[in-house]
Amino acid sequence: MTNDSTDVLRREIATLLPRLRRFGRSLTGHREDADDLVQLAIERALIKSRQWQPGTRLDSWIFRIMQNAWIDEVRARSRYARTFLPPEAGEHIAASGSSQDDSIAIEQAMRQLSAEQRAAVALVLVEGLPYKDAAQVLEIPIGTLTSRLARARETLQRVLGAEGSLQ
Amino acid sequence: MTTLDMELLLAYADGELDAETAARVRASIEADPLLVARLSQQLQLRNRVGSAYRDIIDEAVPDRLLQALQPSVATAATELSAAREARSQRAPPGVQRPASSWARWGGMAASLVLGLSIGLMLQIGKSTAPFESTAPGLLATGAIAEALSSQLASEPATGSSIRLQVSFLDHAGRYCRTFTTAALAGLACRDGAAWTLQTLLAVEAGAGSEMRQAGTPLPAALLQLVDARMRGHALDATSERAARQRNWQRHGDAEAAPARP
Repeated sequence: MTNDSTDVLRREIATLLPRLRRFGRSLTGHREDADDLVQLAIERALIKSRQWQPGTRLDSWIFRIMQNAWIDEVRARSRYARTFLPPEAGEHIAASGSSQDDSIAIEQAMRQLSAEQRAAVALVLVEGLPYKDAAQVLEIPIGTLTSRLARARETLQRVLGAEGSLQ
Repeated sequence: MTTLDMELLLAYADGELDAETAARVRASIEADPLLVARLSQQLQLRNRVGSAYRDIIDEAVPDRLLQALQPSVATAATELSAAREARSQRAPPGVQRPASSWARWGGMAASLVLGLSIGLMLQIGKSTAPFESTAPGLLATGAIAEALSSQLASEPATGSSIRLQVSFLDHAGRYCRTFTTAALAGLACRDGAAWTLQTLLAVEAGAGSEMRQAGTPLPAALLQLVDARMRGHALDATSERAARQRNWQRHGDAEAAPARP
């Protein structure tokens, strides 16, 4: 890839930064972890810039880099049992924004999900990716994605108190 | 409900089905009030999860991320721990607020009147269905979308079975409006040029005529949702009219309802 095309890639990543940060936040549940993850992904993407094929979804490619890095991190941390910082140590997800109360409730519910389920929710429900693209990011079959999504939603409904009233 | 049914319903809520399958699922929903409730739950969940992370998009991007895009740092940290250490200082922790007694959703589904055919509501959109399942969720279309865009709560339209009750700005800064039809009560919020449905409740068929009168109480569950979502106060007639004039876009208007203290 020439310097010119790397410059193009830098510019395109720059326009994606708000969404990359949001994906990081919904994936990790933690502001600093999320930005660390974005920073890491930027650096890896620039190093591996030749692997990106122009014309394909750049967001999906970087989401995949972030997801893989996060899974590695989760595994490493689980050895030290500190995957997720306690809420009082980490800022809640929408510290600077509005509708904070519900954001806290949602984040607490998200903590009940496995890392894999959480990634599916982040890609489909937060980032709005089609199933096909989300499955590609996670490198899993669509059927696996839909069952992860279904289980994740069941858990979220239960934790958020919406489940049970119809039974 | 079988797992397959549930996954189909979820795919419908996510706008993932082709037209033919979507029509089939819509027909099933029409025949089963329980499915209406399930769909409504899923739409609410999708909206709540999406809203929880919506504000991040508008946050200022930290300098260190912009710097990471500069050519000189292309060979920097490739481990997350290194990125963490490279961070010069932590952002101050966000202001913690106590969790409120946020209205739980338990009461919502209970107010659904099982046994009512959703067919009633599917007929009100003239020749088109009133809702369209798309990637961002369920969009209001047809007569409901038209009413959401054009009718004022302060001036009920004559000759329409659709009524608007409360218009307000939600915490994400979107215009949201409650509406009722003969068979249905719902909340829709403006996303770009579309109205996305936040919730959908069946109302008692017998209440249909009452619903046509402005001021008739909305289902309690809907009011709870409005209360949870509303920032400041409901729009008065003047603000509502101004919002309509701007086609329900914010454009940094100064007359937005004040945030809660």
